Amino acid sequence: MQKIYYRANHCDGCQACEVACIEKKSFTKSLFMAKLEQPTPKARINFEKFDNKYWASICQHCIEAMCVGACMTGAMHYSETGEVVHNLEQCVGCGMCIMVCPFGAVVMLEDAKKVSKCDLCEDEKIPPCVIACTRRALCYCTPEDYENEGWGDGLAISHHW
Amino acid sequence: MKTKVGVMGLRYLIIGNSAAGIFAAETIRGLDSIGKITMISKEDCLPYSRCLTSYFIGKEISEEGMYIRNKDFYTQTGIDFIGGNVERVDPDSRCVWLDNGEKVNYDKLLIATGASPFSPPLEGSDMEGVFQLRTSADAKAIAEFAPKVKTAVVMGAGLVGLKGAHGLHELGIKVTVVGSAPYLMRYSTDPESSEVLIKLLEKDGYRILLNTKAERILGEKNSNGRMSVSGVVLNTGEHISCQMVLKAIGVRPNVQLVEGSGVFVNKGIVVDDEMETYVKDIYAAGDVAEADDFLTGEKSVSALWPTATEQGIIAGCNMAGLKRRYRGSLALNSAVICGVGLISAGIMNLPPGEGLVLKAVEPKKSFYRKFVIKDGRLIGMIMVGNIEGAGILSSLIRKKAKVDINYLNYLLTSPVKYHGYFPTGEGRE
Ligand SMILES: Cc1cc2nc3c(=O)[nH]c(=O)nc-3n(C[C@H](O)[C@H](O)[C@H](O)COP(=O)(O)OP(=O)(O)OC[C@H]3O[C@@H](n4cnc5c(N)ncnc54)[C@H](O)[C@@H]3O)c2cc1C
Ligand code: SF4
Ligand code: SF4
Repeated sequence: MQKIYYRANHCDGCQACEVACIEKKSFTKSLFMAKLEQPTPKARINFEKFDNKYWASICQHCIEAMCVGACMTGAMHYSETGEVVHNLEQCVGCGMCIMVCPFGAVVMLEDAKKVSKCDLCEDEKIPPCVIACTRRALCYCTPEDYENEGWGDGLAISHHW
Repeated sequence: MKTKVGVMGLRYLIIGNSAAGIFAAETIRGLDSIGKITMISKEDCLPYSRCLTSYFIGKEISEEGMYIRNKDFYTQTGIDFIGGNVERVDPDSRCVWLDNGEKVNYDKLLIATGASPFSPPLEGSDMEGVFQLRTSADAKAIAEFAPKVKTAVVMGAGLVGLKGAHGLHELGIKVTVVGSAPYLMRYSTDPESSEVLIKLLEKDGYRILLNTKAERILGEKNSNGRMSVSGVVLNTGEHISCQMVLKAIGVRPNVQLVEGSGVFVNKGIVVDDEMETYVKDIYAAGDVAEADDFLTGEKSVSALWPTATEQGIIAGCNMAGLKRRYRGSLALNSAVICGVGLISAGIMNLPPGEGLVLKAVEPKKSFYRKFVIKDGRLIGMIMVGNIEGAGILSSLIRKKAKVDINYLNYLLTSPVKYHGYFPTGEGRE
C-alpha cells in the first residue's frame, strides 16, 4: 500500500498541495471555477505555520485506525489493500472520527453535514498534491520504500495505537 | 501487528453482534483463518449501529442506513450466525445454553451482550405511547407511533435522550426534555457548554427542564380501549400534555446470563487488561464489561461506541492468542446539537481548587473551549463550535505527556492543527 508522507524540513509553505487538492475535490475540476462553487471545496490536506516550520496533516491510513473504531456508521473502513477509506454515502457527520484522529486529518464538510479526508485519489496514478509539490516535501510511496530509500527525516508520521 | 503466537483452529463463540462483537470477530478472523467463529445474538438481524436509531426516527437515514456491515458479512468472514437468546453460561462444560434448550460449545467465549435501558419504576409506564430507545425494533416502534404524536416528553437529558429528542423534533413533534441533573449530558459537558447547547436547543423550539423529574405519566382510554399517554406530571407540580413519553434515563449491563457461572460481576462483568474475566477463556467487552479507566486506573463501565470497538479488538487479539493489553477506557463523546458540534474527552470537571482550567467562550458564535490540566498534563477538554482537530487533543490526553501551557493557551482560540507533536511510530505491540 502506498500513502502520502510529509517531510516538514523540505516544505517552504507554498501551499501548492492545498490548491491541487481543492481543484481535484471541486465539482468543476477547475481552480478558477472552484472558487465560485457552493459549498467551497475544502482541501483534505491541512496546513499551518507553527514554530517557524510548516506543518501539514494528511491521513496516514493508520494500520489500526482510531477513526475506523470510532465511526458509528461503518463509513470509515479498510479497503482490501489496507487503505482507510470513507464512504460519504453512509456518513452522518457525527464527528466521532474527528474526535479521535491523532493527526487532525478529517475535515468537516459543514454544508453536507458529512466529513471527508484524503482518499489518495484512486483514479490518479500519483495524487495531484504530490505532483504539485516542487520541493518533494510530499512523498507517495510504500512504508518500506520510505524507510529503505532514506527519505524519512525522523519527523515523518506513521501510526497505529 | 499480525505476528501471531498460539494455536489456530479454535472454536470461538461471541455473544452479541454489535460494536464489541463485530470488531472482535473481525480481529479473530484476521489472526486465525481456520478457526470456527460462531456469533449469537437475540437480535436476529444484520449488525447495525444503535447510535443511528435516532437518525432513523428522524427520517435522516433509511433502515438500511443503520447497518454497519453489508448483507454478505457473515459469509464473507466465515462466521456462523445464530439468532437466539443465551440464557446461561456453563464454564465447567465449556458451553452456553440458549433459551430454546440448544447448546453451543466453545474454546474461547466472548460476552458482548451490551446494556439495556433502565429506569426507576414510574406510575403509568405500561401505557401505550411510552417508549425506550435502544434497539432498531424500539426505533421502528417509535417511528410507527410518531404520526399520532404532536407533543412528546423525553425523560433524561443525556446523550440518548437528546438524540432521541432530536429524532422526534425532526418529525415536527414539539419536544420537552426533562432531566434530573443540573445540566445537559452531564458526563460529557460542563455547566457552561451545557448553557451554550440549551440556548441552541431552545432557539430551535425544544423546551429544556433541568433539575426536574417526572412523577407520573397520565393516560386516557383511546379508541381501542387501551390506556394511552395523555400527559406527564412533574415534581414541580406542572402538567405537560403529550402523547408520547420517551424514557432515556440510563442503561444497565446485560449480565444475567453469567449468574451462577463464577464470572465475577460488580457493576458490569469485571475484566483484566486482556479483557479476560475472572474465569479462564471467558472474555467480555463493550457496554457489558467493567474494565480499567485510562485516567483513574479504576474499574469502570464505559457505555460508548469507540470503547466497545477497542475492547472488542483487544479481546479478539487475546482470544486468538496474540497478547495485547487494553490501555484503558477514555471518556470520549461527540454530538451534533442543532448543527453545532460538541466534542469532549477525559475529565471535564475537577473539584474546585484542583488542577488548572483554561477556557474560551464566544456565546454569539456558539463557540466554547475548555482544557483541564493537572500536574502539567492535559486530562480533559471540551470543544463546542469548531471541532476540527479534536483528535489531536484527545491523543494528547492519551499520551499523558507534559504539555506547555502557552501552547494550550494558543490552541484555546486557534483552529487545532497538527504540529508534529507526536514522535514517529507510536505503536503498541
Ligand atoms: C440511541 C442511542 C444513541 C447512542 N449514541 C451514541 C453516541 O453518539 N456515541 C457513543 O459513543 N455511543 C452511543 N451510544 C452507545 C452505543 O450504542 C453503545 O456503547 C454500543 O452499542 C455498545 O456496543 P456493545 O457491542 O457493547 O453492546 P450492544 O450494542 O448493546 O449490543 C449487545 C448485543 O448483544 C445481544 N445480546 C444481549 N443479550 C443477549 C443474550 N442474552 N443472548 C444473545 N444475545 C444477546 C444484543 O442483541 C446485541 O446484539 C448510543 C446508544 C443508543 C441506544
Ligand atoms: S485516524 Fe486519522 S490519520 Fe489515521 S486513518 Fe483515520 S483519518 Fe487517517
Ligand atoms: S462523521 Fe462520518 S465517518 Fe466520521 S465517525 Fe461519523 S459517520 Fe463515521
